[in-house]
Amino acid sequence: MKAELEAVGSTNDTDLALIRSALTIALKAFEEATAWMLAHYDSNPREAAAGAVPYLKLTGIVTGGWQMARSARIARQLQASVEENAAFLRAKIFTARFYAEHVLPEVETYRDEITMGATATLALEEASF
Amino acid sequence: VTYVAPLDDMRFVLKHLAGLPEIATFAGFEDAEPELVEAILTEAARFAGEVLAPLNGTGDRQGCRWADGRVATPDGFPEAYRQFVEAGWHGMPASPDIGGQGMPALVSSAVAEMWKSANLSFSLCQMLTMGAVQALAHHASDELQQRYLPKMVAGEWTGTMNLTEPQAGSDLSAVRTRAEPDGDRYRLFGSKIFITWGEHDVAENIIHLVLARLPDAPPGTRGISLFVAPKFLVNVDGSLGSRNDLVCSSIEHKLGIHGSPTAVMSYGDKDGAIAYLVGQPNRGLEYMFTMMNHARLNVGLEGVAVSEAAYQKAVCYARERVQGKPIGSAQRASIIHHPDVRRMLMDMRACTEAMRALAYCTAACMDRAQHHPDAAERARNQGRVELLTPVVKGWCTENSIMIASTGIQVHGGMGYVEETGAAQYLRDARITTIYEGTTGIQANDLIGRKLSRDNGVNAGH
Repeated sequence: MKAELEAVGSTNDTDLALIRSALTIALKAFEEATAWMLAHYDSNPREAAAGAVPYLKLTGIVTGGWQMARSARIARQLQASVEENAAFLRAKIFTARFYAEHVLPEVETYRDEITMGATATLALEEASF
Repeated sequence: VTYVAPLDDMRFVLKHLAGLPEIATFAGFEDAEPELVEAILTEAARFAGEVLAPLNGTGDRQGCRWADGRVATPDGFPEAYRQFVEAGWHGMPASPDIGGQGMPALVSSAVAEMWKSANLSFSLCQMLTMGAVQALAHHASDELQQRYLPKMVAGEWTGTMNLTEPQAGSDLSAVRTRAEPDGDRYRLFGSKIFITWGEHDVAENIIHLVLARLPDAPPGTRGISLFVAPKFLVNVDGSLGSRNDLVCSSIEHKLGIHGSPTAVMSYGDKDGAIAYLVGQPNRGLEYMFTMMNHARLNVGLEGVAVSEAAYQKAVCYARERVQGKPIGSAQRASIIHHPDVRRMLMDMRACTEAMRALAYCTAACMDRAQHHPDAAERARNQGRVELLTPVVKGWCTENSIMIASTGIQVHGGMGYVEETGAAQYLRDARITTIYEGTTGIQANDLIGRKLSRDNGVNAGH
């Protein structure tokens, strides 16, 4: 995924620059959540398991974002060719940008939920439910 | 038109993201040349749109009907199934040595997405049969394979997976169904629930794969064996014999997938259902796990497929429905011109495209893990498959519920009433986060067996 960050990084392309920026932030959140999981899975498995589904969703959003970044980069390259479907490629790039701006930011919420949220998830006595 | 396969996006993902041109060069995939793949995609799109999609709403409204152990599927399903088999779609995903077409999992995934978008209930029959085919092809004796596989691959007979019992859901160690030895075969006694397409009227025989315990089996997961029990016994010459002692005692009333019969199966009400052991005793769960990645990828594709269908319906409605003046405009216009409707459609579209890309790339990793000429590449891709499969299954299906729900929101009140069909997608999507391992099971698999076992290597950590 980091290799894609390098590949997608173009200096004068607004759409790709926005996608790169959002993916950079999301990848950092993914790494932080992964590091927390690896550090807590053995020592505190209940807290790790409390964040398992948020971690799955975070991983989905980031890996999906990685594929969308690739899509935008490849679509931009294909725009140079006259045989390609211009409307499809334009839509692909803006759809990838929408994903970067509207969906990728969710990973920071999931990271916080994973790394800070387990105490309250598990705090109540069974009788309190 | 109710569903048009998104062929442009499928082609883009296959070629540019998932690497079909490279995969088609691997030994075993010689047939996956561009012209044939293109013909498969366009013909599948036609079949999905013209034959399966028109039965989606009617199948939902009519549902399946049970009487005296027999199940009638919705009107049109048996005929559509006959056409599906005749056109050769049923066996397509299987490998050529057992009668399939030898297409990469990547291509089969794109085709499966079309069946699932057009008619999720209908698509489940083939999916379950091909799962049973894989189990038999990998683990059953040559004799059992010769008896069952050709007709199952062709779709003349269908297959089922009998795992769940009332007390054994996510925890299969609690399975109680008994298998008593009877010469070189066994007799099954017990009850199975949630058996997808466990009884129906679209094919002449149903081959049930059943998890059960032998008399001397150790307790827990290491004491479960896999058996094959046909609805009609099969004579030596391959013709159908007498009715086996197994019966569909009822079908479930469900929130969605009404066209897919979900059977309660009763084995051995009389003298025991005749069954044959698949592979070695006490290794049934292990055999199930060998097919797990494929099964879970398939359910992840259901999430992609329902999302795509819900998106198409929402776009259609937003183009037609004239309501109000969009902000900044003096004219009344269709609601697709309202910025908030745009936001909803873009959200559905962006997530669906990302899900499709991730699911297809995971299918491509499966192909590389099996067929790449370089052993190190095979191992690297298997690592990717292990990591991404629970993500594709859990994330795509969870998203599909949200996306189908947004599809209803685009329709407003017309989405909440059943006539528009938007609500069916939400009801159909709702099962996908539950069966083949809930989202919680997928997530525990991801953080436990997958992430922590390899210390984050496959996560690129």
